[in-house]
This record gives sequence, structure tokens and C-alpha cells, in this order.
Amino acid sequence: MSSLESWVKSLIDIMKRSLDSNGLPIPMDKSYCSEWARDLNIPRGGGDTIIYTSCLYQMAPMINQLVPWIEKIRGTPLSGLAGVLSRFAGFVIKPNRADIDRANGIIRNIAKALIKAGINFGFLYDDEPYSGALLHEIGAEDIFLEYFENTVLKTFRKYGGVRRVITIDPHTHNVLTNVAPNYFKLDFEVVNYLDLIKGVRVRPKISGDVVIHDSCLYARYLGKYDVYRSILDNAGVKHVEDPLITGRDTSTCCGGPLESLSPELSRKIAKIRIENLSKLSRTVVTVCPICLANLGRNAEGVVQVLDINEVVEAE
Amino acid sequence: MGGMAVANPTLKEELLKFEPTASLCYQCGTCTTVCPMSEFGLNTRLVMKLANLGIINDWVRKAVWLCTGCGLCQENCPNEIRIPNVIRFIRSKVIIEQRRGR
Repeated sequence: MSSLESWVKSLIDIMKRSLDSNGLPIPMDKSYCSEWARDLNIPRGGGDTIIYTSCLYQMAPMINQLVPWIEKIRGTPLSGLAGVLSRFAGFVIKPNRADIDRANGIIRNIAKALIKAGINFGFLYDDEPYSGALLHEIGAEDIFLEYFENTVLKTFRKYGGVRRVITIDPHTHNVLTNVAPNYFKLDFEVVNYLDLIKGVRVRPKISGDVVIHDSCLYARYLGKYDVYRSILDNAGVKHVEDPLITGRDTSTCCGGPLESLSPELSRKIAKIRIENLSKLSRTVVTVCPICLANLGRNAEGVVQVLDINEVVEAE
Repeated sequence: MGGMAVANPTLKEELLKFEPTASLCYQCGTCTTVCPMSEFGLNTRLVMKLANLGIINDWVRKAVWLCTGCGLCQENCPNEIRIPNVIRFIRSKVIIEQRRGR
């Protein structure tokens, strides 16, 4: 087996064990996932609409901490899966306070925009399940399905009245709209926050023009290419476009999805993307937590990478 | 490429259940042209050719992990084939093989 191929096997096992023990696909304390909601008075469960963060904004920067560990393990000969897991046992990610604060700020900005849009929503706090998107994306479809049914759907059903789920990232939205409905009958509607806030009056939080780094999923799988552009337009933020760099059918990936498979390859892809984006503007706007994390850590002063929620806010 | 590959109609049938658009491929190669991972060894056109023959060989077992799922291939495919789904199908088969201790 090639090293990448054998690493996949270990990676899936690590994610599965992590999900079983702490509810997230990486070894991180789940209490970080609901911190953002403190003192916002969002009801638990509550009503028929909930915000579904899937903890992706908090987790994405943490995957970075796994990278040296992944590289170390992949560089040494493995004495089977048991060897990998024993080296992994006890490893817990200690999130960087600044990363958590930044993620919290982004989600709070989203929540405030939703409130401005007149939407009443609840949150599941510590009960909110991870979506399982990583399992699906890596190709472990059977494990994903089992997890999704027994954890995600079961939790939503526990909060009986959930009729509408608001997603805030493309990976969770893709799983709920393009994947899960092929296997399960979902008894709730799925909407993305971008569609809910596109009519809200927004103002810029930064000055100068920007370049949009499209989320592959939002742009090509989920039909949101024009939605976040219109939000920037509403705030009067000029986004520089080039059909070969920011086109729906040309914009390339940030490399994030490869990070847990091959950090070195992921880095190369990110560098190429940053080089192209920097030709258009020094400020890159992302709409996905994984893009934000992967481009951000590879920007090295060439560009500044900001989430759209750090660029505009509801008036 | 390690050994003679033999077409596997059963696997092909399973693929078409998972992703019915797969059989629309006529090997034009647009996917490979637009794929950002081509230069790192992902020949998408070849993946599609082998998939449509129901063949998972050693080359495919290695190549499928290079896909980021960015969707440029399906966006540019003249027949709108959901190629990333085809790749995910192959991945799922390789993962199951691994579990059985191939």
C-alpha cells in the first residue's frame, strides 16, 4: 500500500474513535463549540428553527495542530494500526485562545445578522452534533451514514420540534442538502445563513477592495456563487474579479480538504491559490472555515485572509 | 500498473447505482485539463475510463486520494458528469477493501 493509502485507514479510525469519545472528529474539547453563544440568550433547542454550526469554525484552525503530528507519524514506519493509535492516545488539542476568540466572533456576527433579519432561532449548545462531513468527504460513506443516522438525526429528533436548520458553512450544508437526502427522509428544511442575510442592510468593517476566494462547495455544488457576492455589494465592498482566477468554473481549491491526508500537498495547493489571488487584491475574503484556516496559515504576509463576517456586519 | 486488469461488470453496475451520470463519459479529457491536481498525478480521465470498466487497480488505489473534491471537473464536463462522486465511490470501495485486509 502506498503511504497515503495506508494513512487513510488510520485517519478514518482516528476520526471514528474521536467522534465516539468526544463527539468531534479531532481530539478537541467539545465545550469550545458552544462558547460563542454565551450571553446572546439564544434558547436551547427552542422553537422550530435552530442554527447548526457543526463546530467547523472552531475546529478548522485546530487541524493545524494535528499537522506536525500527522507528518511525524506518516514519516515513521508504522507498526500497524495499533501502533498509530497508541501514539495518538492521550493526544488532546489545546486550542489557541486567539483562534477560538476569532471563530466565536465570526459566529456571533452571523447570529447577529440572523437576528437583524428577523429570524428566531435556537441552538443545541453541548448537544449539537458534528455533521460527519469529513467522513463523507474522505469516502468512508458507510461509516458516515451510520454516524449520521445514529448521532445527527437522533439528536435532532430528540429536540422534536426542529423544522428548519440554518447552516453556516458549506461542508455541513452540502451534507444536509446533497448527501443525506439520498439516504434519509429529513423531517426538517435546510437553509443556509447567506440566503437569510442577503437582504439585511450591511456595512463594511474594512476599507479597500478585496478578492473573493470561492468555496468549492458553495460555488459549484450549492449555487451560492452570486449570494456572497451580493452581500459584499450590499456593503459597498468592491471585489476584484478575473474570469481565470475567480470564475465559477476556474477558481481552484484552497487545499484544505487534503490537509489531514497530505499536509505537504495541501500546503502546495494553498500557495498556488494565494499567489493567484494576490494578483487581484491583498485582502482575500473566504466564506468557508476550512478555506479561512488553510489559506490563512499559508498566507505568510503575502495576503490577509478574512472571513466574510470579518468584512461586513449587519447595520 | 501492476498486473492485468480485468473488467468487472458488477462493480460498474454498483457505480452506476451510486452515480448514474458516470456512464456518460466519452473520454474527452476536459476533466484532466482543468483538474488542479493533474500535475500531482491525478489523471481524472483515466480514473473515469477505469471506473467505467469496473476496474480498481493499484494506480487508481493511489490516485483517488489526490482529489480535493473541488468540482472543477464536473463544472467543466460537457456531459455534466458528477466526477467527484465517482471518485468518492472508488474511495469507499478501497476503504472497504482495506477493512477486509486486502
